[in-house]
Amino acid sequence: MDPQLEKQFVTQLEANQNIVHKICRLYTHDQESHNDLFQEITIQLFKAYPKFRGDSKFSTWMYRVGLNTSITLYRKSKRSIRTQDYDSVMFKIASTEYDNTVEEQLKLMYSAIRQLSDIDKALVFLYLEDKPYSEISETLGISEVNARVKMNRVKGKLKDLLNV
Amino acid sequence: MDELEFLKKDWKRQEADLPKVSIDSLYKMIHKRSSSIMKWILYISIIEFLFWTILNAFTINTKSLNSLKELHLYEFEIVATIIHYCLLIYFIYIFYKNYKEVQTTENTSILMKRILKVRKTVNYYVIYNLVMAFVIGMIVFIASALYSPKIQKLYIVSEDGSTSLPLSFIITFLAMFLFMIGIFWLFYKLLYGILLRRLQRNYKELNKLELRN
Repeated sequence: MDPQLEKQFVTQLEANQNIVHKICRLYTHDQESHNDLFQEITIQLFKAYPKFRGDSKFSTWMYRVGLNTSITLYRKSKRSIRTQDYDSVMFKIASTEYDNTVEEQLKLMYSAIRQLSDIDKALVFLYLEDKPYSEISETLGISEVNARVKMNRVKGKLKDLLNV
Repeated sequence: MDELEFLKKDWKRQEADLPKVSIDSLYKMIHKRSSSIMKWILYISIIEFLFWTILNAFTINTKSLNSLKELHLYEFEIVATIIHYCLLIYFIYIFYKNYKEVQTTENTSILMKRILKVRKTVNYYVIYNLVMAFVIGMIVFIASALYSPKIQKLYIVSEDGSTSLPLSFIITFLAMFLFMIGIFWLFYKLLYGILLRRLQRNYKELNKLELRN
């Protein structure tokens, strides 16, 4: 790839890297595998970049490549066996304004999401990112109706996980 | 309150906490080697291909050609080799085409379909090689039984004067032969099974609803 394009890519990636980190947080359980997946997504993005025509937003395109890499291409390393307590390490609860009960609730939510399947995680991720169902269905390659049905099921699953 | 709505708020807040990778590190990262499933499938198919080709190259020499002549299989071998290499070239072309077609920018469902297609081609290739090995093995065995002086010695004469190979010899040969092919087959199954287990599970899950509609 020519250096100009490479520079352009890295600059855009740097500015949008939050997306990749957030995907890694959902799909990995410790820092090492987080970095591992981050790197793999970066490589896949770079490989696909020459074909990125800019007909969608750079960030939208990133969602797609990032999730595809996590769901289909990434080989989970053995390291990622849950050795650590996932809620405490990877999901620092963002705000200190919360009281303990809210914080506790959030921790439980995050650990429930961790137990979902790869596909369900992708749905939750896009939902949390406030993506419309049309984009969710396009990204995953399922119909919009199915995306909604699946999302409702995921909500049910999460409820079940939280009530155990 | 909807749990996910509640989480959404926190999800936005956590952005400030996310790690930050520097431009320099990103530059380094993009030139690292991928370790994706596709890479592994490609590596395995190349190794696979080299294995059979080298095996072929090593087994063909003047001595083996002479013994083929002795077994009246010389012409057969030449024709079989030509057909074999034509098919190999065809397989390489398909491997390459499939590999090129896999794009992470496709939607997840199509991407998974493409990867499974790649795997299917490799599978066909493996089956082709195993069937070939079996068929050629059988032909060589029959030809040897008919023409090889070494095996001729093993023939037993029955009471009515006809000659035949001892049944135990045929069974032992067949059993060993099938066992070897079985081991190869198991090995591939295991190899790709491990590699694609997660992908296949996800693929099934994603398409469960589609099928029902």
